[in-house]
Amino acid sequence: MFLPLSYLLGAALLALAGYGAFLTARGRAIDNALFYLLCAVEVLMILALVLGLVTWNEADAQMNKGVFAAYLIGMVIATPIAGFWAFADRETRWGTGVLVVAATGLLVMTVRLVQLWGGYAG
Amino acid sequence: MPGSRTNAGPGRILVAVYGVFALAATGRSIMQVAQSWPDPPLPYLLSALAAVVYVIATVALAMGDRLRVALATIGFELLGVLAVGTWSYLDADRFHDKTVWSHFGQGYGYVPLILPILGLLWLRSSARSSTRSAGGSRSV
Repeated sequence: MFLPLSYLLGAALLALAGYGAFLTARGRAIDNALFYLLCAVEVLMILALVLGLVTWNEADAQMNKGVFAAYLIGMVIATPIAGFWAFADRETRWGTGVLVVAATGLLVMTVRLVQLWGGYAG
Repeated sequence: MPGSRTNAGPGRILVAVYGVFALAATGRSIMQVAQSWPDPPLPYLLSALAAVVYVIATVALAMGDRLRVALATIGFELLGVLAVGTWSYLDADRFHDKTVWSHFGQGYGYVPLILPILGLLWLRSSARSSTRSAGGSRSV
């Protein structure tokens, strides 16, 4: 169950990064759709944190559980920090751009999570 | 001293990039140093040093008016990536374990090389605009 949720999270992050990049390129400030997308990402991350910790025995036996938990916790905490940093500039494209950077970083972390789950060294 | 607002406009995105990088470098170097304790090899210690400096640079940029701290830490990252990048090519044996700075930041998509250059350009432009608004008193 963890992998499908990770793919869903990855898709939501791709949508956030892509739509955010579109708004930034158009010079637009954060809009409601982008905000709700960010909220959806945070909810998916909290689900991933709970599900990941509960079912980590189903992962590859070689998975480094400490690193896996650190990634999940780090992502859940980093997202609201990025959100507050972005919302402090609700007037210009630069707040939108912050969310693009954050979504890209979180996307890399999601890929690493899937790799860890599969037992790749980490 | 006039605030030069390194955290406004495009600087807001720069702080976000520095934040992502501070998080990535800190997390990875904590793991590397912890797993190799009590004898962490030199590259891991250099990575940890790079990570600490990234954290300070991020905070300095985010506060908006800490130009000198930002200049010192970002300058240090540029010197570090140039020095260790060159060193890692000359002394490949010692740098078998990768650092943030090895091979000019190749393992991190050359972000460690590009980021301090962007940071210094941004500091220069924000120092200029604050000099204009403060009627000539320099704050760097």
